[in-house]
Amino acid sequence: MTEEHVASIFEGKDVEEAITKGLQALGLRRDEVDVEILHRGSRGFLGIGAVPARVRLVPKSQEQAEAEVQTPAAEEASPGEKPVETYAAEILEGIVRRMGFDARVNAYWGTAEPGEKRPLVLNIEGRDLGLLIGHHAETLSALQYLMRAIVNQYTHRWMNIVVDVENYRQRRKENLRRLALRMAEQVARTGRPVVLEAMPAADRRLIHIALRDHPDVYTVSVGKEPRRKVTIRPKSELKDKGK
Amino acid sequence: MKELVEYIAKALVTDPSQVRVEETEKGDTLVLHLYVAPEDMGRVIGRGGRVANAMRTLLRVAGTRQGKRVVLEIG
Repeated sequence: MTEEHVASIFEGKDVEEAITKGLQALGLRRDEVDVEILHRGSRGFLGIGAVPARVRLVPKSQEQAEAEVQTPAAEEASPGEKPVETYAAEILEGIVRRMGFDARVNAYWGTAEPGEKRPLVLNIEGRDLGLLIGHHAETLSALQYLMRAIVNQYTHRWMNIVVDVENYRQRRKENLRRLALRMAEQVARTGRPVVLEAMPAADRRLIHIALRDHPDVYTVSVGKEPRRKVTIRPKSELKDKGK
Repeated sequence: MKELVEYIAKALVTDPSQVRVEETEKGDTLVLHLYVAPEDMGRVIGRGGRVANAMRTLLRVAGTRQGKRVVLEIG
């Protein structure tokens, strides 16, 4: 849908920097692109006459997709020519319906987190779908794990598939962020650490990220899975220990 | 329940024609036996059994709605 035509040119003070910038902009990893060096760049003399390095990054998936279009006979018994978005949405809808839920699946390309591939989001929509999320989002994780395996089998490459129910993940993300900031404010005010309830790794990660640059608190995870908890602690105690 | 396992397994394997599920009922427990081509065993079990366990999680949810306990065995 939107992954086409993203071969792009990037500049940097040297080739390595240009590649790094490009990968960040595209949200891809180094092994997912072909790099064509257009100009190695030169530092000039005392910064005068410096020319930036220039590279073109071509996502490999795009090349592979083109190759497949040119040789349709190569994959005789493949499930068909369906775009991956359509295929993934149909399969997931088939699964949740066979589980006894009346639901539809809406597929769209989300925005890439830094250093990650752009996610294909499969959002399940319908009524009374709480059971599809499950305790600690256990059911949602199972659906996502299966869909990743199924789509890998279909496309023969790794894709960042996110399965969601009524945008639960998005809402959870915002709620956790708000909780983190509220608790951080309390820790900063009282100078006493706060231990949050046990939560899965993905949720703990969101808390750590939300408070990464907080001026007054820092975060550590303590305990063993699945009872591992984030603790928010005042930075002032670090200074006290230093004295 | 049987259709659910069949449907997921067929999407996971390279040879869907070899997917077969047998269903036996023991009291309120439903036992599903999944068979696939030998070269597809790894795909339905997954690393550390994660694919099989994901299927079991879905079966538990689907089973709860019908008041049944579901056991999935592979091979």
